[in-house]
Amino acid sequence: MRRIMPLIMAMGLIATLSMSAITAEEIIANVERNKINEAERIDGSMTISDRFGSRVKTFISYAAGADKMLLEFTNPEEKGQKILRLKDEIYLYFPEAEEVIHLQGSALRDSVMGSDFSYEDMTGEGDILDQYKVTLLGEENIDGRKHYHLELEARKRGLAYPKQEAWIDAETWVMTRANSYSLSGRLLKEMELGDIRQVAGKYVPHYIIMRDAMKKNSSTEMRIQSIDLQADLPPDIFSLEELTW
Amino acid sequence: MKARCLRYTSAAAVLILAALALVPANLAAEVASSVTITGSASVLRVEGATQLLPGVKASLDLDSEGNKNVKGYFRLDSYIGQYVGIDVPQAYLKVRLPGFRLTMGKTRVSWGDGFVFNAGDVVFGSMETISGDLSGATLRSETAWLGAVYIPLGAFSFVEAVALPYGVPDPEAEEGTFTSDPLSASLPMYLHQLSGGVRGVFKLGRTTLETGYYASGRTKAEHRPYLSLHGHLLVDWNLSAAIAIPMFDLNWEQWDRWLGISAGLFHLVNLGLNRTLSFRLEAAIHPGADWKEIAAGRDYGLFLFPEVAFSPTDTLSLRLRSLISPVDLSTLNFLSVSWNIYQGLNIFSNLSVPIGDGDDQYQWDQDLLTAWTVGMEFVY
Repeated sequence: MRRIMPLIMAMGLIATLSMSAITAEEIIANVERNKINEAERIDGSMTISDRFGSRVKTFISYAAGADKMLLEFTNPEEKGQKILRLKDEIYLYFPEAEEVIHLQGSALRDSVMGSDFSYEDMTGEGDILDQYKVTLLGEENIDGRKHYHLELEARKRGLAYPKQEAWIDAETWVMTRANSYSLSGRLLKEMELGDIRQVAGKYVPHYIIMRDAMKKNSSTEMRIQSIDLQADLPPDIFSLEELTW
Repeated sequence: MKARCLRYTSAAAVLILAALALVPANLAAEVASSVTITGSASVLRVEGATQLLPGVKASLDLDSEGNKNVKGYFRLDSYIGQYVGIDVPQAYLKVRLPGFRLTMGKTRVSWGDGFVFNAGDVVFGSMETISGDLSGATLRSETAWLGAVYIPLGAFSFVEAVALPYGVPDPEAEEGTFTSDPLSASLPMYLHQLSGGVRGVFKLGRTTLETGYYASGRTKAEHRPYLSLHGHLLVDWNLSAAIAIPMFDLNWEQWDRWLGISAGLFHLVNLGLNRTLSFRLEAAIHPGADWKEIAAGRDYGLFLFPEVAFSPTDTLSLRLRSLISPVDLSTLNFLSVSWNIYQGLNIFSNLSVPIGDGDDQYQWDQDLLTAWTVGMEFVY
């Protein structure tokens, strides 16, 4: 009987997943359809907390699709510094020196302004299904809402997180929780998303908290003050010209 | 005359420092303002004796906001310490028009690529060694009065033309003083003294190719064509070459003295837990200069700049930099620690130590080179 029980449980799980009639790829497609916008503008802030207190960075970001983003800091300490993301390349602009720095490779995983977000976290990782093999682990109830529990395994080397777990709200298609792991399975970062509001027919989390699992008393909160999903973006906004403007 | 100028300058600096704390609160909504105050105390060696040099520098930045096609920027620096002075390192307007943009005022253009040594920087010149403070986030920040036209050619290519009617201020002429001479800009400008040039920047796959020409008509009358490449192959790399051909009294036998080459490598390693380690190595090569140690002149053919920077936490950084003159085996070494403890506040300490004989590029007993500085910087 002891040998049969796990088999029965496994069959039950398979039956449950079959009944849900949705694949992991379809869930990710729904997440990306909800998340990715063709012309987006966000006014936001990032609060970095550690044992000495907190530091606030404010920013404006523009995005088009999954792999184009321009972010400009507006707080006095970093005012005018910009990050431009185009596919797997990131450009940084420092206005005081009129200098453009091109980041590639491991530098993409460097922390942004001492926060728990890396450049890749801030500017997105591009197409999830191109980069990760996704597996549906099951359904879970979180805060009274049905969630899909997914596992993401990197298809190629060099990604910031070789393995991730994600929990997707089955109604809004918002990823409300995500854990990122190293290749050896060590927990690296925990992310929670909340304050989900409907904007232009899409569900947008207005609050994100990222904790680095390796550091005590450290977290970064990101808040969206305003968001426009049908922003009137100039056609050449994702360019060197705009970066150095 | 100079003493009277200095008195007026001193009075103005004191007034400006006093006003800095009040100004930001009263500015209109269309202006973004910030103030940077840096207080420091240095112990340094001057004329064989040890001196203490405390000082405070305050910078006011005013940045226009609200118009996405017009930008105005103004920066005022003031200093109170061993001397008192004010400076306007940047004051410019940028206007974006259909198909191009214009810049006019006192600012900087960054041609070529390189942190310390950059042969492609034919406008301001970044091939000479730095003999002073190595603590800055940027070590080359000279500005000049200029007009520029920038024409984008796609997302990552552009052409830029620049004109500098007053040329580039000669740092040696300023004798290391903080205050710019206000009268230097009022000298008569003749068309034949105009400095200017044009550059094109093009992306070829993952490599950026930059080429251009600059004619310096005022301080050193020279034609300066250059070529610069930068890209990424395991590490970030850059390579630039420029030749400065005198406009008058040409002596082609000395052509190798006109040539300057710079090369650089940079790599950043993420060690996890937000710890990062970065390495940089740059070289300035003057093929026609001296490659053997000489007693006087010290116009050597090779200088190196290695840097190792380590950030054990998000808020703490350690940096070791050196300027090396391999020909005479002398070095200027610099160690700095910086701690961003609260929002906008950095506490720092720098130690600068030269190693070299009495006739080397860097001499152990050279004035101002041996220094220890502690200070704080606050941006609000």
